[in-house]
Amino acid sequence: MRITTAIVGLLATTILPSALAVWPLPHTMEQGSSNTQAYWININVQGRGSSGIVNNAVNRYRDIINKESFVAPVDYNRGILKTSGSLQGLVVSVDSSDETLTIGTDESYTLDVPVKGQATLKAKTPYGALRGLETFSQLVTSNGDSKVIANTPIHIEDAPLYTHRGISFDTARNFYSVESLFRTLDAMSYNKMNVFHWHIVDAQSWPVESKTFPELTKKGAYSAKQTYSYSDVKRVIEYARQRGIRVIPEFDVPGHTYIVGLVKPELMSCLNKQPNWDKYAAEPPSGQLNIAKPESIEFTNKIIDEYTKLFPDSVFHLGGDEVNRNCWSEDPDVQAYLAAHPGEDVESLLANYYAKVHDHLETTGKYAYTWEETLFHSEYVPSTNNTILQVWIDQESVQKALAQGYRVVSSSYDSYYLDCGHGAWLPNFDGNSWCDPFKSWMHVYNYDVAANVTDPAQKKLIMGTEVAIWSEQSDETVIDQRIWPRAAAMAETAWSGKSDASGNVRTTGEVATRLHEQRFRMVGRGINAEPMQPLWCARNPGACNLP
Amino acid sequence: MKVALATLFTLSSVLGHSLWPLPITYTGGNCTTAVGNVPISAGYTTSQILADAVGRYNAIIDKEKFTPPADYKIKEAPSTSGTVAGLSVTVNSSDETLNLDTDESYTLHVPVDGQATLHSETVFGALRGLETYSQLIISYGGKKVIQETPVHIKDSPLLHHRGLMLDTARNYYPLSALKRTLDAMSYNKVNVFHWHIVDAQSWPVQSNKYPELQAKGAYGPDMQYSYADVKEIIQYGKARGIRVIPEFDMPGHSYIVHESHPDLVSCPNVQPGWDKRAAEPPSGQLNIAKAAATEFAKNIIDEYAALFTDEMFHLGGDEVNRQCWEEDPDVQKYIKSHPNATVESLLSDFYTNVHGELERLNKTALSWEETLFHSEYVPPKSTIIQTWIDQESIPKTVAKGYRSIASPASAYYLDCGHGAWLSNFDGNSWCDPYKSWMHIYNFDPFANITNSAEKKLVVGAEVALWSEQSDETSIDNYLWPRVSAMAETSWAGKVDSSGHVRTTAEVAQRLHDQRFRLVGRGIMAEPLQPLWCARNPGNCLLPS
Repeated sequence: MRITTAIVGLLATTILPSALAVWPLPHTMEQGSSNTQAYWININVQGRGSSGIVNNAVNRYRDIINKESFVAPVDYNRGILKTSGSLQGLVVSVDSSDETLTIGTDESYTLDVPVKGQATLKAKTPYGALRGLETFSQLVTSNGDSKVIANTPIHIEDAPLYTHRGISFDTARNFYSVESLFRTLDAMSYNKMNVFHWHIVDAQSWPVESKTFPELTKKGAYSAKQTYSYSDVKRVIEYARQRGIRVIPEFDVPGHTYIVGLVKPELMSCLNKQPNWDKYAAEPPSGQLNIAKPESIEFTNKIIDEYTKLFPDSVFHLGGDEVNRNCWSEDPDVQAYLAAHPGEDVESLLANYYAKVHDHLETTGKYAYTWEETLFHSEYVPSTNNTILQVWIDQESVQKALAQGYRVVSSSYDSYYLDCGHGAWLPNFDGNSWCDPFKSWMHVYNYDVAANVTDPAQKKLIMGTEVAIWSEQSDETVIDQRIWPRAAAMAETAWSGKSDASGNVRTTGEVATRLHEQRFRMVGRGINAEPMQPLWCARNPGACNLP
Repeated sequence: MKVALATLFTLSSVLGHSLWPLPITYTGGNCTTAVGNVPISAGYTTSQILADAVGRYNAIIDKEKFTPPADYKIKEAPSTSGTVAGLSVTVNSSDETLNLDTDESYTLHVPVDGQATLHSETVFGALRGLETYSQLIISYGGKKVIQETPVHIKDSPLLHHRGLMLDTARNYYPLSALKRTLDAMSYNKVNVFHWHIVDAQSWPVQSNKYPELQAKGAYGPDMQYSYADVKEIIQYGKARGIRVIPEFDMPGHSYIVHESHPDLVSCPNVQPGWDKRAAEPPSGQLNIAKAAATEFAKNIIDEYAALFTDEMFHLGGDEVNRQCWEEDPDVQKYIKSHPNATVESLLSDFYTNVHGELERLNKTALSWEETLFHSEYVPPKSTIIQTWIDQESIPKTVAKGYRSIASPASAYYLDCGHGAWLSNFDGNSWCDPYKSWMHIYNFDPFANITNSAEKKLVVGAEVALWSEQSDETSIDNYLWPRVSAMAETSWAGKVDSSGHVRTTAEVAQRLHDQRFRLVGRGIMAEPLQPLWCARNPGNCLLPS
């Protein structure tokens, strides 16, 4: 029996059949040299098995595995593998039926596939079982009229490096149907991703139903059809939970809020300044909650009250990015307020605003999640114990935030913004996107959130990573290709890390064959992931490397 | 009655019409006309193309409920002064030849009340007019109207060759994807499908002369184009006024021939040093020192010039690598025994033979610009040169008296800007950045050509999709709406008769319309902007 620790480079460079082509790579994997035949594969839950999540997942994966007829592109010519035994199904046992899904939920599992007999999957939580089922499904390939698991016996012990492996998804610049969100959640589960950061509203539209302010949706959604009702949101949350994915909503305040002005113009500053919106906002339309008005704070807190109830996750994103000072310093109400309060300025107003809304969030028992500007570009000092900082502007912000004791998720635009490199989108500007160039899967893969972080205590504060799709130039017509397989590149580095136990850093040249396989698997499962290369390259590993 | 020349930027906002590409001349009135139930009719036409097109557009118009995004607040149609009692189509000529000289002009008249008329010289002009007619119809609150009637349009294209090159060899596209692409082309009056059908990576097309090419060179039995498939595509294209020009790229880009004919190919798949012998892996070129390779090329031309009916045939000739041959033992041996021969003279001989073969078959050669600029061969003046390397190659080509088709990588390569695709290289694509629709629209194939005789030699424009990073999962959004940007500048030109150069800011609203129209017709064209911007024209401009 050959023993391979997950991250050994050998694995991908040596041309093996696809037995070990699991994506993301398991932490520890041992494989043999036999092949195990399988026909219809049954999966059963053993023991208490009272978790609906596990039972549903078993049904789902039984369908996926038995329906799937998959052969890796690299194996297009392999013929029929000879087998030494047959598989008598998979038995899943889970220690706990506790379905709590939160930061730090245990996702570990152990999977054994013998040369013949019964495969076993053991996990501590239902969510570990989900991850193991996905791994198991990726071991099965088509073998003529039957199926095969190659390179048995297989022993896998697996657990993620980071607890937060997400996609930040903007449904406000353009709308996405619930079906396309479901499809995205499916694809995330195929890559063991576990956070759907739902950037649900923004300056351009307010698609989500509000019971507190129904006019927000009525006037702010693109149309009655382009909305997320309470029931839609609950369906998305439940669909995600069934796949071990947390849904964290973002209600971005106080910037990016022009759309509130359609309903409550009296709460707003610098509403849709034209033509010089660029002095007031990062993109049109401009508009920020008026921080000089207590009513704005009240409004924000009511939004927090409403949506912290609708979204059950323990984390709630308050935005805080790209706040524009000019918008306020030119606002007559702000000016009048400051004239009457000599000790104050725009910065103190903003810090006060953040203190009020973050404190309010704390009363709901939730953790605040916020873009890095809240810490680095304002005078407000968030609570280090609770606040989670999402870094995007600068990779060095990761180290700075950790040094100050904050928990960090990185979405460094330079590596993780999937919308970049698609040209400018202002029609009179024949130029590049602000964050050009395009972030290729290799570029996404090469990013290391832990780069230059040496202190083990600080390392522990790294919660994980999130790729982001800002939707100025995308909607459901293109979403699959924009996200996949690039998000899969992040998924592996967040699950398996970038290097193995011996310190060997995996290269994109090594992992390409497995990612090709994952891409074709996803296409087979109905996700329109884009091709990485000519099929010829997928079939001839190493032949399309730069010498 | 308001009179407007086509190219006034105010067309869409003022005239309420969202035609793409813009017609050459246009007048509109100030009435609104309801669209009645009377279908389009071509009378007792004997033309199958016309009959099919009438049926197709009746179905499109019947099904379509298009409201421009900027009109989202209009829930009720404006009151109407009359009803269109169908559209009567008449065509002068029964000649259905489709080639570079085909007349695509048409005249379309929509009265305030009564029957609309479409008149054209050829059936292909009628197709263009039908598309325009379909785009005049707007739906408000479920009611279909044509605005600003009476409408009178007299239209014809600036360039006769308005093309899309699609590479079906790096990755395969099924017939359904090709047909959908041809549909979308017809919605944009794009009239040439340049089918880059084979390349180094695969040979999807059936060969009767050399069946082993497909047997060993196609990606798989489910990734092939049979003769019947090809004929179906040609037929499907012709029914939409789209010519299908095949490209059999030689002598480079031909590694795949090696799979079945190893004796004919030099430097096949050299690893890891492919980069010294080819622009991308796998390396491999027809061995120009071997008479059998020339014979093979001529047989390919014979076979496919018969299968593909168009008068033009693309012979490739791009990215030929000299080192591949200099290192080839057979080439070395040949040159040793023929003291006057060099790699350059061998290449020139090869071109003479294959171009001569095509001439013998009475077809016009299309060829990438290297054949003219980077070889010693002097193509016949009938050859059409497709330029891609340098925008300046267009004026250089026409200055030499050759006809030119513009496909500059710097403006028209739709695959660019998607990152490198070699798995171990975390860098940009060679032709970075991405070509936005604004960038495509701003390109002018006539730039730096002043002589009017030379201007006439610029016969076309073609955007290109090389498929290293695309296949049927992503093709619609790679192509659309960016191909539309070229479609308008090649049909309507960039300048109106008063010399005003249209800007991308002016046309954005109409292109939004066209994008949503395409989506409604089943083409997954990508969004240009947030919907908010589409609905609020002028609100998403960069301040000057």
